[in-house]
Amino acid sequence: MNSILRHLTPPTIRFVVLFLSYLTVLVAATVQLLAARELIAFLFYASFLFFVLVPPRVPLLRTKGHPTRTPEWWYTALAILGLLLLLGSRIVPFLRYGATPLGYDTGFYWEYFNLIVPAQTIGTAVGSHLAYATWFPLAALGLGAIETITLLHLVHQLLTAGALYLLLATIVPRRIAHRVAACSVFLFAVSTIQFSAFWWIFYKQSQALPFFLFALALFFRRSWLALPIAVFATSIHLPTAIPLAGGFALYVLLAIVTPIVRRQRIPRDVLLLAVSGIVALVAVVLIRSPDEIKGYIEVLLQYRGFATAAQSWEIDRFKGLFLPFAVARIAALYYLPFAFIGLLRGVRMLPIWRNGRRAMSPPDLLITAFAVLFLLVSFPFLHQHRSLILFDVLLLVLAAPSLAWFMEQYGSRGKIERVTIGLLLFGMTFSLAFIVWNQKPQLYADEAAELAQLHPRNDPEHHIRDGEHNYVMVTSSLYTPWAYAYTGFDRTIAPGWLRWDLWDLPQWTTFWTTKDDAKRLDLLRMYGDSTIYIFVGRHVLEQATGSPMITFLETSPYIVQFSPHIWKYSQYADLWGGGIPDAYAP
Amino acid sequence: MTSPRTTTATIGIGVALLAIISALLALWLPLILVLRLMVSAPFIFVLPGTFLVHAFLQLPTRTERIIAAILLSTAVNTFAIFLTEELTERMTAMHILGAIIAVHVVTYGAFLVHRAHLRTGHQSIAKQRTSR
Repeated sequence: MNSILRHLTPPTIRFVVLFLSYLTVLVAATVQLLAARELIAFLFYASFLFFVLVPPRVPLLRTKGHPTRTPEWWYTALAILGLLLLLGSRIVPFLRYGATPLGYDTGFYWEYFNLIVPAQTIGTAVGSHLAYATWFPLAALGLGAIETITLLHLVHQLLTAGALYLLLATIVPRRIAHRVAACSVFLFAVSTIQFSAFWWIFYKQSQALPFFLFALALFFRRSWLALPIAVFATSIHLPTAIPLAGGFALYVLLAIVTPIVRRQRIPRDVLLLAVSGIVALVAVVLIRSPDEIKGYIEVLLQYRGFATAAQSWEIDRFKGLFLPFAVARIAALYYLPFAFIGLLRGVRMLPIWRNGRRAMSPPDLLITAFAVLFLLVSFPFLHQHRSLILFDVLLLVLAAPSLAWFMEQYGSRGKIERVTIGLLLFGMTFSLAFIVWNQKPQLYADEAAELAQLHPRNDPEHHIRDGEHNYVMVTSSLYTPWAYAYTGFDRTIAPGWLRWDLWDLPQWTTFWTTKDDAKRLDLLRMYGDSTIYIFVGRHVLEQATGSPMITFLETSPYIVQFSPHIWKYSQYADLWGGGIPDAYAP
Repeated sequence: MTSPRTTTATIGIGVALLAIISALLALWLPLILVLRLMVSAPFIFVLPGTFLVHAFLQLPTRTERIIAAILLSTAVNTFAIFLTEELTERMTAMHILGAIIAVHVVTYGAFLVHRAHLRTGHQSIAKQRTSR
């Protein structure tokens, strides 16, 4: 007993407490998401990393004086591998599924392009003029909507990797800057959350993100350029700025309150920061127009900041139509322990842990931003799911130093250890490859071709869409932007979106679920004597085959299958005879 | 040995010519797509960012300087096009050309002004802007 107590020195107790806290947080983050066997495997993995990265009797912050053993070129190779993975993972969907393999918003950006580029001005067609300014030079070169949007979206990914490199190279000691920054590029490339953000084509957020990271790097370098770059990024995408602005405000508040509590003078730097924040706010309002900012504030007040205050069918939209927090935690399993150890290091740097010997320093901004973001992604605030993209970037920022430290500490021990590191990197790469390969497009190329048949450009003599009152209808909002774009941005009926929809939610529910076909026909008759091309894509067919709605499409005398995924409805079915066009005949 | 003034003037003329030639290439020459993109897209015009990096940021490695130049170029070129569109409410090829040339001239001007400041004894200010 005495021998045990003799070993319970303060460093040992501290280590045990730290380890238990670490495990508790990781268990809390994953227990509801993983089966027992998976959870145990994950905890073994996390414990292994902890014992390598935070060995007992070595202070958590002691990184000085350790020689770097892994050669520099190894990290350069890792960064290049990261860039190749980044490019590969973003290009593969295009190679597999054609020009539009990405998510929902492609169609809407396509529409914006068609609105502003031929008019040679943005005018009042879209908000956030700054985000679309770069379309003009590319359009002047003869690039089409999809090429322009996709190319720029890809460039934004590369810019983000570069900005992340710069940020990490700024916040860690110069001696290990390249090593840590290279790890951050690799982690960014293999992050499935970042891939999902790319896939969902959150164009403006992806465009703003590298500039936020760049502004942070400039801020840490104490460059005045941080201010205009932050204003630039905020003007592109205001919602992404809100968590960072919250973190900044909290940081400035702490930096002001701490000296007041200690009866010290507030440092001039801190006051300068507060003034800079106000100047940035004014500049953003001027660029984005006060009315637009007012619109954001009205939405915020209307829903009291919570997405759950919206109507049930609007909640997902107000949360940001992205991965839920639980799925994101699963996606981040590989680097979650690294990030948490990075957070422990970061928190230990906060002045409150140092008995006030140090004022708030710039890197503390990362911790305050992390705290604000953690709050925003944990509760159903407006834009909760979209905030995950920024939250994941901060996880990567916290994880990169730990990963580099792990490679240094563990990789230098011997061959087996180096193989283990290789397996870890392979695991991360494989995880990304698996997600990329299994990411199905919302609209397949053959479905796109079917919809394109209905475009006036492909039907100049109006053989298919004769007359001015014909419609294209989608039965699921999943296909709204696709049908709208591919059929020429004209009369498209979609649930809850676009001006041609005459039905409310109960009427749509009736159309989807009722067993009474007469009610469906009554609903369709609300569009008068129009012909309606009803598109039902593969995703809906997979789930709804055999449902009353599909049976109605297949058996109603007023409807004929026009192509594999399009059904043609008319009150005067007997006049046109129906039948599948030759192009789609089996 | 050439004088600093001659060197500055040469660089200035070179920059102006490069901006005009690259913009012309970008807008009118029927080059293959990739080449056109490389020459033309505003974010590839890294000169404005390079001027700003040299004038206002002292970054320790070439990689960091290149990344910062690309990011800064993207920002200032985008902002120039945005501003042109806001002011003229038109965005023809000539407007784009004007915006690209203007941003080169302005950033090069900032670079020259900063260098003049350094020459007149403001080195200490420049050093304060260095992060570490």
